[in-house]
Amino acid sequence: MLRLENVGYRHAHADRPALAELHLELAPGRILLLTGASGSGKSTLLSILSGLVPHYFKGDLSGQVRLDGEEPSQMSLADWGLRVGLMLQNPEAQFLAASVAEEVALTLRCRGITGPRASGLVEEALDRFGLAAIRDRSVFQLSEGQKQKVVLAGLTAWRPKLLLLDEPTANLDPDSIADLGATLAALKTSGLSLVIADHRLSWLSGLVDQVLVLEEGRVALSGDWGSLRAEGRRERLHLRSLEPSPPLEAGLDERATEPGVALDRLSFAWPGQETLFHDFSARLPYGRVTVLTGPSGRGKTTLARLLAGLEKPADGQIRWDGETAASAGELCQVVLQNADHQLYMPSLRAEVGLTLAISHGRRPVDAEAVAVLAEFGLSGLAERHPQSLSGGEKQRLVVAAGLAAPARLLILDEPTSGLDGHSLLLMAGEIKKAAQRGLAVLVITHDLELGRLCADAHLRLPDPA
Amino acid sequence: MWFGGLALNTKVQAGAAATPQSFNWRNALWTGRGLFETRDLVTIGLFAGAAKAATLVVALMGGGMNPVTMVLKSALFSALWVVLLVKVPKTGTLTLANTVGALLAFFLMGQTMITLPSLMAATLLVEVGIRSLGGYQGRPWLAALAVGLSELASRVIHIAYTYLWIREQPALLAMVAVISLLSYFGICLGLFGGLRMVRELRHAGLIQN
Amino acid sequence: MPGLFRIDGLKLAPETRLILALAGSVAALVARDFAALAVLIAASMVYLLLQLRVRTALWAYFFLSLLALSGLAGVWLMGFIFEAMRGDTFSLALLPFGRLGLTLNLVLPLALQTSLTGLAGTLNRLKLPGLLKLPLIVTLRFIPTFLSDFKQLREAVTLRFRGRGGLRFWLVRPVVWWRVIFLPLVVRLIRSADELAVASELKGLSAETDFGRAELTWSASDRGVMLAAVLTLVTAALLEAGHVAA
Repeated sequence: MLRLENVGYRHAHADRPALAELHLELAPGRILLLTGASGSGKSTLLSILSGLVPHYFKGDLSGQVRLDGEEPSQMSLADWGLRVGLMLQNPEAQFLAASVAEEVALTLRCRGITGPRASGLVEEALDRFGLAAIRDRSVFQLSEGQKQKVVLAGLTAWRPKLLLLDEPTANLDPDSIADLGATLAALKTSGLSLVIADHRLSWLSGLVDQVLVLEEGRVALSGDWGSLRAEGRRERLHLRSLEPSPPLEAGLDERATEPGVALDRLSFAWPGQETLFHDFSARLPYGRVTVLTGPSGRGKTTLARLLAGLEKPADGQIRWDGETAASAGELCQVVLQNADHQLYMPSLRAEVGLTLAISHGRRPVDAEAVAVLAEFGLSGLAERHPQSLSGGEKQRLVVAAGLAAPARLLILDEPTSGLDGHSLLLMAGEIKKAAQRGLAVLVITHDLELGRLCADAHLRLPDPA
Repeated sequence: MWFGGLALNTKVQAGAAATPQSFNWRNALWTGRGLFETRDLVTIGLFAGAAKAATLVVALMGGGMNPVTMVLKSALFSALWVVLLVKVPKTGTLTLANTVGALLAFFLMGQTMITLPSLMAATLLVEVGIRSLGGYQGRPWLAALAVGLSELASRVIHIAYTYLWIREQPALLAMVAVISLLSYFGICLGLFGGLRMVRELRHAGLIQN
Repeated sequence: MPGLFRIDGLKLAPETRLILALAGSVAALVARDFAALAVLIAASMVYLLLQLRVRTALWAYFFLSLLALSGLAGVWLMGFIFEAMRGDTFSLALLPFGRLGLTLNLVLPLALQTSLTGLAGTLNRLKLPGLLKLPLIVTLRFIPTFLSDFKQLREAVTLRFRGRGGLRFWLVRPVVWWRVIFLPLVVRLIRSADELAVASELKGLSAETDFGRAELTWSASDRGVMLAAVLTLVTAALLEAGHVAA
């Protein structure tokens, strides 16, 4: 039984506590959903449960954390790790070995479990997660869903009592999310307790037993799944939808003759691989948001790369207002999933100013940059360092900086991964605003909730034959 | 049930991580226990790998003997080292990072190992000197000084080693000296770039004061 | 006919390549006799060609020649300034560049034929202190990730700035392009370091972790190459001794 009594935590040098007055009980074989807006204290609570607090992060911890009567402060982090496993948002960060089987074995070796006992546990774990067939494959060649299974196999191989998952669906497509749900249901049946911290909620309906919603470090709601359904509660707590979004309908846009960017009978294959596109045609009309969906590996990102001019089609053309363009770079702005890679300057004002300077060939007036920031609701943060922003704010800044220069097409790659309900609404608003400025907007996403909020047209790449 | 009985066979070793009463230097030098924590070793490894990969990529893009490339890759290298020392401000970090870098260069690029002992000794000497001034903690400029001095020592050692190679034609040493000077100019630029970056990373909350 | 230039690489244990590269560095430093160096170079050339394609070796030698020529040109120019430096430039330069050639022959197979996975196995076998082994394993594990990150960073720059600004804009703003190169790299590195440090601590990883020992496959080829190397070194040592005596 996991029991937290009056737990509070204040980060070193922080003025306010990150968590306060937290009480929680979780019985074996039950699943707790931990959710709340970004910065509400979910990660801090996971750090406490995983033992990173007090062993790694040295803030002020108060109250009691007990798992079957044992406290993390009474043993080393390695020993606590035998009882509690944590899967990080990016599973690849947890890999140190080259192949699937080696990675699972290394996880055990790090715990001092070696020899025939370890071999038996490795085989058992590989079988349990359906990884035996890919045991020798490089961990880097796996899909996101498979990577998560490798981490879960390693974490559960030595049979912990509690498993923590941090944003497990942030990078998964709908099929992989369903698969993960089935895996976690099986783990629950085995008697393992689970804490799942996530912004996406719809996939957890029917899986979780308890719900804990945090707001500014305090418990805003503690109950069961049904307690989330109370009138207006979800919106007030900035939570995302509780119901699965129905699939987007194809061909929402009926005005196919509007001017825009046309992909005309494109063919493309990566060297040594099967053809991704053959005679593929589509239109991205100006002033409209087109949402691109499809299974992982079907070429969504490749299509964006072709549009941005990073790849050349083997056959076919991309036409901008009926003309082929020599350089797509001047016509197209791309917002990558990892916005960190696209931020270079010491303040938001300077970031937008850089784009203005480049496109106008002169030093920008501060007021111009601030005006662009204001348009995206970021003017209050003008002097902040871009790298200190939240994920959603960074995405909006990259959109703002990109659109400060003339462009005809805006491409966004998974813009809402890891965003809470409030940030999702803001991002959907910015996307629609970009289209209203007359741009063709292409949103590549697995997030159907975002699609529902902003799609004028839907383009779905077909499932593999 | 998936898990046939959730037996936890490993015994609790409460207090196993406690500091031993007398410091075991032999054990410390072998495992790092008491000198470095796992997170320090991981960070040193990551920075050493990144520095090697970054300089390699720059060299491949610009050509190894291109003066601009030479200055740029040296600047990247020293700036990364300054950031590393601010992140892991412990005596021995620079020596360990240089040693890991040299071993990597040997394993992956076949660069010589003969100069490694002298390089380690020189870097350790610099670090002991910095420690006597109060250590790196909270003093990024001392981190920059340590990198500057150790890179100077490494160039002197390199020139001495090169002399042994070209002792029949010492005039060639002039070329080596010019290249070393050029790359050291890059190192100095990188130290300033690194110090500015440290200030900015603190402002962004990416590294702690 | 490409087949004419293709030699199937001789499979050797990474340890063999490491030992030969180290021995080659020492021998190159010691050798002062033309004949001794010639024997070493000839043997090392056979070793090189047993493992690499001729074309790869030729490219390496092409770059070595460029280096040699630029060095000689520098010396020739210096000769105009400093009289003492003028001398029998080309014949004496044979020794330094001969040494470089010898080392190149021995390190190229090490650098080009040793896989990261193979190297991690070697590190596990070598009795290195955990203090060095842990950072080295982390580095080897992350080099492919770094290279992929660099590609992403480069593409991010391309996507944001391609076709914009013009050459003049960038030439007069070195600080901006320093930021564009360096800031995302450092940010990515710091975030990776923090993330991996947390993951490692949770995993229970430490400098004392046993990473497992991959089996050393010491084949007949390894034994043959080592024996040939010893014989070559003895021959070179005898020639060198003769040179010193003379």
